[in-house]
Amino acid sequence: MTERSGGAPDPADSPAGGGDAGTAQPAPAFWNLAAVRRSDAVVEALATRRALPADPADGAGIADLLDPAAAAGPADLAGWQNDPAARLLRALIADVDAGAPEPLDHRRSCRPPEQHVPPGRHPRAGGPDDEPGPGGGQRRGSRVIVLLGVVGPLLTGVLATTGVAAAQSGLAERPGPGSGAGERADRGREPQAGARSGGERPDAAPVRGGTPLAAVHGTGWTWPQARPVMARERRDDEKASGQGRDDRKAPRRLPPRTSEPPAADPWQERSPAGDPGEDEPRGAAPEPGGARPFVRPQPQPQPPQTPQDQPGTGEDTNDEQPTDPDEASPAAPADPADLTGPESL
Amino acid sequence: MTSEARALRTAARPDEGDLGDLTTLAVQGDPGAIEVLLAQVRPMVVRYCRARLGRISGQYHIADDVAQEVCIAVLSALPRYRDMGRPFASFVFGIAAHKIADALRSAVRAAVPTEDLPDGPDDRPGPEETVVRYIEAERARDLLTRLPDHQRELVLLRVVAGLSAEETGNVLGMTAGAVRVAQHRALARLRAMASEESIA
Repeated sequence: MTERSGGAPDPADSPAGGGDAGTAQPAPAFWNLAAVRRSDAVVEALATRRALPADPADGAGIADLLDPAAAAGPADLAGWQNDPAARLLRALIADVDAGAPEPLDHRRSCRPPEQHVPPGRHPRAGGPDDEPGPGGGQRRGSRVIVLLGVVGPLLTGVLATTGVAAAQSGLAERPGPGSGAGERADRGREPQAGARSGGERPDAAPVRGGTPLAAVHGTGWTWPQARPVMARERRDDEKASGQGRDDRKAPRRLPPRTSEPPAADPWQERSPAGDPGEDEPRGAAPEPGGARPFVRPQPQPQPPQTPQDQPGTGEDTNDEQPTDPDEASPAAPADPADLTGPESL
Repeated sequence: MTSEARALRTAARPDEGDLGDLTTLAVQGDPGAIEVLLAQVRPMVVRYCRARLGRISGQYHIADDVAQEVCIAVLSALPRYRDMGRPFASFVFGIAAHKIADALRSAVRAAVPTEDLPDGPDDRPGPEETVVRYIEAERARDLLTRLPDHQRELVLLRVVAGLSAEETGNVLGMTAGAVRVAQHRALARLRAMASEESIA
């Protein structure tokens, strides 16, 4: 057994408080009882979210109130309203209770006085996650997004059925919300002003800075006539802006050429210019004699060649235009008749 | 819900005895008793966690998540719960204390969820009242952190969580009388600290 040091207090002499470690203040019980009772009344009111007791009879007797020594807190219970400790605890309770679930304890029969409750509304309806929103606010934005997601494919289908040529839909070369919009945007599309008003096409990616195509080229233009102009203009724009193959994410399809007279051949127009490069747009390239256009531009200007002369370009179909093998459409079926033999590879 | 659970739910004042009866039924697997038990426990746990953890970035989402974890842990532990002479509330708040300690150690700050735009008028207190209340609550938390641990736990359980003196004593291992004396001293200390800050 170790010897106690000289300065250490004798535990037998020190009056220990009830579970109150670290408090060296002796507590004479007989005169503090009223204060303890009064504090308990206040704490009970705070715990049950009731108003602080104003009636002195609620927490203590008159005799206790007349004894100034018994006042460890405010002399009258009404003074608890201004007590800083009670005020701070009330603020903490109000902050914690905001949005918290309603307790089932029937001790709490009243709402806390500082909680603002509008008429006709439950103060703490819902769980702690329901802190907000009187309207229980569902976002309307989700419905708008769903609407756009539905309208996009619908417009895609509408536009696809009009049979617009792929060369004119440089739109199809740009990634859009409806990614399939540009794939069939050139399927024998007839000019329909109603369907092509500038802001209705999700894939109406503008040539310049967001301007709808119809607005760029004016309303009333028709696809066949504007095609070569648009193709050239787009090439110029892409060259100027440095855009190129990166914009052409979606596979393209060239318009059917069976019903269209061979207009000015953009390939022939372009071929004297030299190597078009891989970043040139793949426009509609009607070949003389109605042959199918080739897919890959050749480094040297050449007349449009039949698919038999082109190695590896066996994806032509009667109804679909071949695409660039670098950006081949996954859905483009290969026509066995167009496949070249091994000797041409 | 069994008739016993229904009767316990409509009791005038649920005390530890009722909670113990509910616990017995819940341990036996009565779904109604489990539901009532959690409905009684959850509000106290939410308030306790909010008081202990406070707001993070102005929101109680961390505290509410911890409270949810506590309820899940209580629900998971119910089949294995055995009455060892301690009240069920002490079991619940013991779990809550561990979860809160884990949350305080965690340095992860989750993204703060934002409210949806209300579709109607907002009847809640205005921004001035909200800010004043927030400042007062933060001041109260600051003062509570300066109390001794035992007194702080007592005040949080007694005042914020809303336990009675008997329930608080059961959780902390004290008598109801000792709880009342300790809460009186805690209030006196809080009052003194608040007065000193006001003067300063």
